Amino acid sequence: MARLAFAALVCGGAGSAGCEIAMMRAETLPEFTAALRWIHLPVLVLVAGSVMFLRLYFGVGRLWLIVAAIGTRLVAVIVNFATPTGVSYRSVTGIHQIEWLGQTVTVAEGLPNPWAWVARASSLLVVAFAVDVGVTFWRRADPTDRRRAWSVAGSIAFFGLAAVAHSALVQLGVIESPYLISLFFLVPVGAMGAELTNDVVRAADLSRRLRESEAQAGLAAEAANLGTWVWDIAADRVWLSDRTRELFRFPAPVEPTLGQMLEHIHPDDRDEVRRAVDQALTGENDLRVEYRIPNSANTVLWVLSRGRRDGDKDGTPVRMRGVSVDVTELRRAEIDARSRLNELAHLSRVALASELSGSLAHELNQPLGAILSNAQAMRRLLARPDADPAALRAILDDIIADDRHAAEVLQRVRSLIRRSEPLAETLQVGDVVRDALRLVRAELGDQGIALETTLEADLSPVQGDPTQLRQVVLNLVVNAVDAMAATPPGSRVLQVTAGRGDAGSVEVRVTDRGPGIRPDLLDRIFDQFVTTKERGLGMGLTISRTIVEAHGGRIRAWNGAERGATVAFVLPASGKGQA
Amino acid sequence: MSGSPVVFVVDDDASFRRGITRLLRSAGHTVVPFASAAEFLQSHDPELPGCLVLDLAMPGVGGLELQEALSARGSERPIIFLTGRGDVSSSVRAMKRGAVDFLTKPVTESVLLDAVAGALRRDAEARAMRAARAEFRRRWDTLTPREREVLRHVVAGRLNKQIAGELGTVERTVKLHRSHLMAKLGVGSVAELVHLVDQAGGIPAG
Repeated sequence: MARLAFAALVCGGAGSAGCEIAMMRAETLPEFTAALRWIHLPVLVLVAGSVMFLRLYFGVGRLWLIVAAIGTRLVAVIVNFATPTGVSYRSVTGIHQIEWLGQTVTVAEGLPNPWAWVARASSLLVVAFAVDVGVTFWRRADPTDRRRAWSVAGSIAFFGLAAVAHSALVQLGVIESPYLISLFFLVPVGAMGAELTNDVVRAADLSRRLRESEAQAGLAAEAANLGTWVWDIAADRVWLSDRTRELFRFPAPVEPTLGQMLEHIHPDDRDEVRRAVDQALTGENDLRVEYRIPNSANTVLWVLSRGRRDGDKDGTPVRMRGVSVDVTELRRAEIDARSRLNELAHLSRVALASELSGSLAHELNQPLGAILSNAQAMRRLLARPDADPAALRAILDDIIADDRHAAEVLQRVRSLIRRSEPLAETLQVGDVVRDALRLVRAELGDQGIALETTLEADLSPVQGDPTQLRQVVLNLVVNAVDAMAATPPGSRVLQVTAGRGDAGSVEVRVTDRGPGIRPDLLDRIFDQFVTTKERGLGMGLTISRTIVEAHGGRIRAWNGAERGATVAFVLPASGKGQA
Repeated sequence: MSGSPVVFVVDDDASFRRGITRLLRSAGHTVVPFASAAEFLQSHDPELPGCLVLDLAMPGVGGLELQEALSARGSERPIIFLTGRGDVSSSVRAMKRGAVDFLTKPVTESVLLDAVAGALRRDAEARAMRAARAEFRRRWDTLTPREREVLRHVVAGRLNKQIAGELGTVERTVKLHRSHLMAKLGVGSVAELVHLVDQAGGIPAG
């Protein structure tokens, strides 16, 4: 619309210039006065055009000034055509030629018309309006834009003032010159032309840069095999790049709704994706969600999507734009790695079980021996006439208890040897430690090792696989036992503690009184194949570290102040920082 | 000081200890159980007749250590070892240090009761031996130096005449000494005398 106003402005200017030239070349009075009269039409268009242009281009300006300027100009035009001589002169007395700028031009003299002040008022109102617009815009705009204010509005104001002043002076006979408003008109035209050209150039530049950056982004996305997408939230339509379309298996170019996209996702993952999208819309964080897309070949693609919302001025989400990438390979590698860890952990457990087999057998022989002795004692007692039923019952109770004890030991051995998928249970670290220690009780007894356990009560529960964690404790204890093989019998002490760590985490420490870990091995002790023992692969601590880290924890080792070494691992409380 | 023999049982595993104790008691033995070697040593009276049934692997002072400790105190109480695992080197050590037997858990009643019977017999024999020796020693102290000399010669198989020649005295004196010392020692014949000296482990020096 601003352009229309500008066109009107320019036409008005051109029309006025035409009339002024006609006046300058008029040879008879009637020619002159006719031109003088008709000029007011293009001037009206000029006035209306400039005022509307200012308003539309800058978007500010008092409406009443617009109405007043155009209104007064209309009145002047009506008067102009209603009266025989027009609004500029009450009567034109005569014309004559003068030399002006090397040309012969016609000028007139006559009695000025008081109604001309209406016309002048209109022009002044235009000036006032231009100033108003200019100042208001100047105040509100940022410094780079302010130039527009004074160049456009200022030039129109200047033109208005110059036109009024000059034509008044001519009409009042103060100076002798042809009407020249179209000359003054060149100033605003020049200014506006410059501004418009500037805008066009800038727009072209911006558009070029935009295309370049789009091309860059497209290149990057292609290189990374990313699919991009933009979701128009209000209209619920998603623009998909070709890659995204491929990922989602949309057959043809289409802009689906969010619902339609969800239908292409694996049914089990839809809720999670919906929740993640909602959170990203209302919460602080960007969208980040992984899900499966069923493939036609009876497999699934794993896809990771990340996105960010754009809000409008009020912060209402308007758009979300993001990328989606195929992470199937990564996921498969992860699953592979995990299953390999499982296998390794299992093998290591079996090795541990075989190392402990002697003491495990002993562990079983205790209850079995007790059962046998009790049963045989009972048989003898029954052969007597004075058998006491209460005593006999006590014997049977013991037999039952011992049987249960033996069954427990077998169960623990079985769980060591069994190959199973890791569980994610909520467990008490204290129980895990106690179970592990029961398996090695006999070993400790054999070696004459005194055991000191301190298991704090009220420790936070921990999320994990009890078999694997027991394995870690067993590994550390067996290492400690081996370390003390050469320690004098009286000072073989093994300390096992479970206590609170930072932030509710749980720490388990196994301390021995052996010779300690060799300082040059201390920081490599968890690496593969590092061992100071003659037997074994040196994998026990490595696997222990992998298990602990898979549970979101950390393991470390250090030497005691005087003698011995401690190996400790920390596990986060359930619900925090799970891997 | 001697009465019916006691079977001492030392094992840190409570249920096993109870089972063994019951079994032994049901067979008529007097049993005193202990949960640790330390407890046993605290109240040990070497004069009490009886044997020891001992678990090999115990925390702190183990079976073998207890065996050493008892031997250091000069106790000859017979020990029967019980173990959950048949470790050859431990059994050899135990037997070399004088254990009576080395049994594995679980242990059947016949094996255990036979071993205990054997151990108690050994203990009784040893005590009898010690008592006899002590008695001989007591009586020996009542002999005069001359009588002791004559005894040495008699036990060596010499005739009275030869002894008289050795000691520079007459046969009649020798005969007198002989009958005195035989009376003091409570024996009726040379055969008995020799037997007594043998049992006592020989003639004491000096």
